[in-house]
Amino acid sequence: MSIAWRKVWRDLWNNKFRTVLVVLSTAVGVFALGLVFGMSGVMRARMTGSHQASNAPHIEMYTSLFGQDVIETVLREPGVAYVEGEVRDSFRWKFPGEDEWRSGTIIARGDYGKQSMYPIELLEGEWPDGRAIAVERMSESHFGLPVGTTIIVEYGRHERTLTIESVVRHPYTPPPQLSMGDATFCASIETLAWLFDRDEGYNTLNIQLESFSQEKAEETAERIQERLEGIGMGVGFWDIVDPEVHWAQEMMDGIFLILGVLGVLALGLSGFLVINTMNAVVSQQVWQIGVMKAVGATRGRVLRLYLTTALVYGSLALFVAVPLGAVGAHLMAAWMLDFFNILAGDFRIIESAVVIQIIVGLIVPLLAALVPVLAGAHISAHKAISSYGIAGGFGRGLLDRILGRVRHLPRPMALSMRNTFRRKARVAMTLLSLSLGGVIFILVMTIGDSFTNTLDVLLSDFGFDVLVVFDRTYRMERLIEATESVPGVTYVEVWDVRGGATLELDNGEEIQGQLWGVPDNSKMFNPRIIAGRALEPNDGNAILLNSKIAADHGFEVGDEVTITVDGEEITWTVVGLVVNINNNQHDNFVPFDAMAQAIGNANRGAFLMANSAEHTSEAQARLIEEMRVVYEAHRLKPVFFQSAAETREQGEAQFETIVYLMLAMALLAAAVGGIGLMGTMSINVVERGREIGVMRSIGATSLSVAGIFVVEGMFVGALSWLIAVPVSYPGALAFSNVVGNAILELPLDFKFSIDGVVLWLGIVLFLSAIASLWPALRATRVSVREALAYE
Amino acid sequence: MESNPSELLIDLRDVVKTYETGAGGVTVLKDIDLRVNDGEFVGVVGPSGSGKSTLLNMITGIDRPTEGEVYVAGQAVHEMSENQLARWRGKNVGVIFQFFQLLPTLTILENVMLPMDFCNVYKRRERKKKAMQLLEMVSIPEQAHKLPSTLSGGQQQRAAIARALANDPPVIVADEPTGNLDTATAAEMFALFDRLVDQGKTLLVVTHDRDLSARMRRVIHLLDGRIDRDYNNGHYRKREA
Repeated sequence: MSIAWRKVWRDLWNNKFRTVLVVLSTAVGVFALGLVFGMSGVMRARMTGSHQASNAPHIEMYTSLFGQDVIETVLREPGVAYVEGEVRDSFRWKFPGEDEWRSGTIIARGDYGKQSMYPIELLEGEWPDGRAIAVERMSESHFGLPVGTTIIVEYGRHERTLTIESVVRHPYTPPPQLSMGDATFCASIETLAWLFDRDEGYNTLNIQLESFSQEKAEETAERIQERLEGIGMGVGFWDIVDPEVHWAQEMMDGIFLILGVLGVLALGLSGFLVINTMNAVVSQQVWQIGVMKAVGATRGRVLRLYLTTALVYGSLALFVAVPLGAVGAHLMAAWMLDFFNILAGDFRIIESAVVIQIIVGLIVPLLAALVPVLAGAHISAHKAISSYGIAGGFGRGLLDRILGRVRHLPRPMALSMRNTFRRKARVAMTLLSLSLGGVIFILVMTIGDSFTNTLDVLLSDFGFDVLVVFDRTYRMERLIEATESVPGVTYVEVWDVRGGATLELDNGEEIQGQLWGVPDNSKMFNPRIIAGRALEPNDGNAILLNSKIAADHGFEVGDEVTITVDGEEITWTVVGLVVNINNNQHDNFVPFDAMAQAIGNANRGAFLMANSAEHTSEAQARLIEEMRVVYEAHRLKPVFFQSAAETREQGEAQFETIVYLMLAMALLAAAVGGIGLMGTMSINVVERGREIGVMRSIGATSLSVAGIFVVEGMFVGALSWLIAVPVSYPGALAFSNVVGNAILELPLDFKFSIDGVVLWLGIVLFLSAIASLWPALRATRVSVREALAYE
Repeated sequence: MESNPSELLIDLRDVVKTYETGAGGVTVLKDIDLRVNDGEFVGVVGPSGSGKSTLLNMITGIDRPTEGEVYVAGQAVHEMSENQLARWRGKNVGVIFQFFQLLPTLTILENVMLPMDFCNVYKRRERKKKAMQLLEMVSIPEQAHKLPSTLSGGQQQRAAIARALANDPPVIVADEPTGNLDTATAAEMFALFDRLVDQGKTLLVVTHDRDLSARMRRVIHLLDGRIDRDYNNGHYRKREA
């Protein structure tokens, strides 16, 4: 090994503290890239993989009970490639000792060994048989239903006790918090027949076509429905499932968008960190470069030496950051995928993420080192002879003169402040990376807050405490009278809500949603109207159209739309566009009277909203109990109750993933920004060992030296915060619009996160203090003679 | 050329050096004309700020003249690129710094071998032997494998001299080489310089030390960037006597 290479090696080895700092601050940036890009890669791959593996049926048809012969019949329909039967029943269950029933879905298949569509996987125990049932994994964790748990199932007026003996995964079952709180169970066909005391058979047809298109699927479904009704079967309804689109696709697209933006920001952040670190390292060596040049080293030689050093730092950082990034990405992706009931599967390396890491980890340090090395190779020979080692250079610029004029500061404080700007390029880079870290943190916190704020606004569109759905329509007066007699009820409105309302588009496509009949002068309805006006009394066939439908299909205020409800084709005039997130944003609102007139249902309703004086979730739950008693006495049959608290919980649960993701990313930004800051600040201090020697030689105690550096560090930290706050505001505003449009198809209700701003100030001050204190204290342990003799 | 080219080693013609500062240009060297022949031992003296170090920097090519020409060992130093200078300097000029400037992570022996590596002057396996000979010459062979920080100032300066001699350059320049040393050690250093001159080297030494400058054969006195006096020490002593 030539002498010069020995120098490279010893610089690395003898300055272990500095080497570790440089490697860590480079690694932390590179790690963030691996995490963000790796996570996105794993999630994309697993989502597609999982969706394809689930082998989704194109048509799901819910019917009366049938046997194998019906499957054969459907299989003979043209265009049909594959048919499977299963049983799906809604039922009520509870834990032993509980009073309240919970809702659930139970699925059974003929032969679990021969499933093709939506194959249910056995995760624990045996396939369910006899009086044992299996629980879906998401329900297991959400409700706390491990193997061995006993539950009570309602059957008419009787109860049956069942034991959970296995855990399964149904590939297409959303987590309970997203599906109206339903728990999902699996059983055998025989168990279901026993449970509900009926014949064995299926009630759901899963149908795959030879090739999928929306129109073809609908056409085939209608034909099959006719065919089955022709042989005396009942067909409830059917769903078309696009085999290419996962149910969580829209939300996932939003998440990928967020990850993409964060990826670019992380790229910038880690780039700055690496540049800053390399800059500091090379600047420290300027006088040595000068000496080497003085004894005959050419610029090429010096360049090679330091670029190799940069490469070694970069490689060490990669060695740490690539595996950590991959593991972190896998864990984060697994956690996110779990929200969508997708298993992360085996650990995998995302090549594209590693490539980005290598580029940033190796090429950026090289380029970053190039600038100071070139500069050092150019000027330093002269400086090496003439200068003592404490670099001058302060006092020339305007900023220096301004800082020089700041008087009446304690001398050490003035020193801290002026020192900050001695190396302007360096402090600029430190500020840039720190500020970018702050921007990311505040931005992410703001998106999280804006999301919650948006939900607040959206979920306040109905002002009810309790919502009740009855088994059929009743006279309005009867419903109101009964409800008003419930203790605690202060106000009642009867609405009409019709499911399966079909909006026809010009291209023949149909949008299915609910049509809400809103009573005149409703006190419960506070919709967010983004265009046009609210409904007014005597509005005729006016409609508040869902803003998403309007955006997707180009409707405007004043347009006419045709919606078919209960077989009646009715034309409505759009008077306003309304934001409503229920039902995939497919719900629309019309005057109660207009709807009642059109479908011949005047003065009757099956849907009721009530208010009480108290609005807590406990009060709402109590009210529901009171209502049950009163309705029973009035011989009214409610089939569904929901409190405002529950509605809100469900709405929030839909976006829980995004809010959690934002929080995780905010923590990541804080960690990366913080550790990066610690690294660069520490290197800055390490570099000034000689200066510390001078200060100590003129009487500074260790504590006062440390104090000077800590104040300097905190000054830089505070300055970066001052930059980050105004920059993050417009950034967050733009980002929140993009995220909102991607996920909700409307800009988020922007709320700048003051918490984020304050929190980041705390983080940045704390970290800069620690980052400066540690190396400064370390430097004070070096004797004055040593400090003065060498760097 | 006025002098015999075979004897003339350093030739500065109308050299001007101006530094740009915040307060405007400061001319550190003014119309310097200086010729040094092969084998001379030249002291450069003068008050602080008179341009001594800048003059040395012109000769070593570490700094460039604003105007004028600098020839050293027949080479037009002012015309060479940075890279040509570095290689040329490594072979032709040995530089000794006031603060020794040994690289802290290399041993004494390695510090001496470093210029040989850079300029590729000796065969690889000869370098160590050559470097040890130089350390023996400056009387610190036993320090060869130590790091600079463990040596005394005098020992470090001896090592720095050995490093300056590594590629056997005809010219040695030293900027305040004894400024950080005690009197006895400084005297030893000068004895060493005398021996180098006896061996045919040309030495230019910037010094503040009157006693030491008295030992040099030729003294150039700088004042405000100009050569105030350029005299032969023999004459000076005689006249004084």
